[in-house]
Amino acid sequence: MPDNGVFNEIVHEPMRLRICGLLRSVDELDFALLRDTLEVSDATLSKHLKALITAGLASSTKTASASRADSRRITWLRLTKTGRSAFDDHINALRKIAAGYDIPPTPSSHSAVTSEH
Amino acid sequence: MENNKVSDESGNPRVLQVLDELRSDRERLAEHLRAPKWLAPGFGLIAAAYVSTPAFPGEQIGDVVLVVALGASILLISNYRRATGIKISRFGAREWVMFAASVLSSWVLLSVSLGLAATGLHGWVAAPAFAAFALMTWLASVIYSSMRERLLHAR
Repeated sequence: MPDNGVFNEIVHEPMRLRICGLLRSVDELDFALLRDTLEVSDATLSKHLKALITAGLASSTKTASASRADSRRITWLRLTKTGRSAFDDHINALRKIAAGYDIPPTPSSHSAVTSEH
Repeated sequence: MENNKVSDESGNPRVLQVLDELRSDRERLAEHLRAPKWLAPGFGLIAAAYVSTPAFPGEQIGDVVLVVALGASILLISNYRRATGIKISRFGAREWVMFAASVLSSWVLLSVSLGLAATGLHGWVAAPAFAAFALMTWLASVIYSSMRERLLHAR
């Protein structure tokens, strides 16, 4: 991991950062639990998860649920190896900023750092 | 200068707020990581069943109980994951120590059971079996608490 961390525009979006933060601390999380913990709607969570999955930072798997009589399934979500690395780098960069260090600019960092969130 | 722009935001409340928010999210998630009431006693029962095998006739019973115990353990973990919505498979140092302690204590208590059965005291095998139940239930609770604590303080 670079010493000063690396900003990642996709991860930097507040809701996606929170999603990554929760997924980083476990192996996998159930979609419903993630939604309840973040206190967001299904649609909002789905939208941000789609962005993370499209970027290759997260993945999802579905398993049958014995506790449900209908065909609904449990959706398990996890960060990919790339996602874990991107999140760690991003947090490292945030911590450096919080501590007052300069973060070397990267092609994608300027808009992420200076954009209002 | 690009660097200064980043630096100008150094220590700004927004960055600290973001980091605090991530910590709060983990705390909320840890709240969900409450062990189902059946989980620790379930592991206790599995250990008790294994320790009590010398009381049963037949040489293969130990192997059968061991296989059933492994299957039951997998089932317990699978049901726990479904019940909580969280999968954590990595153990920390403390959890590994507790896990090793649970395996070792089960072996010791199994040895005691074997000794009791060899001397014809089959009924007394219930004592180490009960001890295994109590010990494993406690150790499983400790492991679970440790995992929850680790989740709370993850980076």
